[in-house]
Amino acid sequence: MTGVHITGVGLTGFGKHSDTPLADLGVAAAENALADAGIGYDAVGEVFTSSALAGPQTGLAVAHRLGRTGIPVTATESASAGGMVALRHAVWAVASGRCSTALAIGYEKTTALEPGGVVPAAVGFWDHFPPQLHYAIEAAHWLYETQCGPEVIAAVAAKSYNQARLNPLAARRNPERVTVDDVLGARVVAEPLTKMMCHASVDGGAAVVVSADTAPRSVSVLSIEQTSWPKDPGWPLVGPVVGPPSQITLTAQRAYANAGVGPQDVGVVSLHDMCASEEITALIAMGLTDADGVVKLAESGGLASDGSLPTNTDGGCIARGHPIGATGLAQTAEVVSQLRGEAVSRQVAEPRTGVVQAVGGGGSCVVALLRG
Amino acid sequence: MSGFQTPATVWSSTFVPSKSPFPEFGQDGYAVAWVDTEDGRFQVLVDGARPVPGTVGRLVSATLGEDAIEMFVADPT
Repeated sequence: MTGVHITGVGLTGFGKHSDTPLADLGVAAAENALADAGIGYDAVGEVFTSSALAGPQTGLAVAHRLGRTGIPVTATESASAGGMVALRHAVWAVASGRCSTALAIGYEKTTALEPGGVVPAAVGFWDHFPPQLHYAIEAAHWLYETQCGPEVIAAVAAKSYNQARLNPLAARRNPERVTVDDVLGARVVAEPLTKMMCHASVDGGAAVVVSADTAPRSVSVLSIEQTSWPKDPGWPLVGPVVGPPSQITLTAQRAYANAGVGPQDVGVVSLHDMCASEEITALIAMGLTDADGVVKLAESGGLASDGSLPTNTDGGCIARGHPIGATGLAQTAEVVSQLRGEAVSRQVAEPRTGVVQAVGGGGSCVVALLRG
Repeated sequence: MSGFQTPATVWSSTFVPSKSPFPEFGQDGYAVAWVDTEDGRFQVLVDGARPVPGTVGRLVSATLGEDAIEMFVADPT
């Protein structure tokens, strides 16, 4: 137990923000989160920011726009796990007693490079190839082992698209219900993955306010754990890819233990789905189901918001969108909304405990357990 | 990975139906595999068709662009 509570969450719309300066996305998300918490920026004791592609000092620029109060501002970078890494720092800033309220802010532009931002350049041999390669190889192995067809992965992706139709801030909101055949019929990126099984690269911002004090709509942080690149001989080192499923298991087990809960207590899930197959991998790795179970859940609609294991109810990286450094905080915002009972048309039936999981290229994994 | 013609067994693989980034290789698509060797599991390009799991073969030294790499070649069946 951390003794820390989430009192506010804020998002921008996810999609193309070509003409919006990157810092504006962070500021907008932070202002929404502060308004949601019912506090001003002068109540914040520390700020932690997250972006993978921002130029130097962007975090300070975002914080200065919110108010030059002199508080510590720390920028973090941990690829897709960055938002959750920033959140972990914010939680521990409060839990340690350094401050009573902290703010985590994520922001990213992936559709149009921000002037002064980081240009991802190929350094190693495999950087020249599509980043979906290792997901595809892992997915192919899982299908081979289970003797399932790609329609299982397609069912997970279709679920995410249809959840995003219920999320007004999501990037991919299909006007019609998405079917398994739609997903299977999309262009193949790397067998067995089609384009509709892969994440949407988008722009966006997300922010979370954490506090030592409870508020009427606050959600408790039961635990938040991070690991970075543990050794696994079954997982080839091919550059800045995510870590192995065993890392997800290790991180989740630590989070469950410190929270005093188990997988059976989880009522809503948000996890990193760079590809839809990753959702399957992570659900199993976190002990939330097994291989047989995930197939039944995927094919029966059990992963939708009205299912028995609601997962990525905002559409996930597949359809909500994946603004790298902001993604983990957007995931947290979704689970908080669910635990508050404020998720409107995609509301899960009375979840009490939620889990947020993020992994990032280069090898960090963060798992947080939240209770409403 | 150590050297020339290392024995290897395919753990899993994929086929990418688009041009490889190297003009001298895979312009009609290409396969990539994770292979198990005595030194561990590695990701390698495949010389030939996409191999199924369990396919036995060798890692053969090759050069693509300025990179010295090892590619998987399946043993003749």
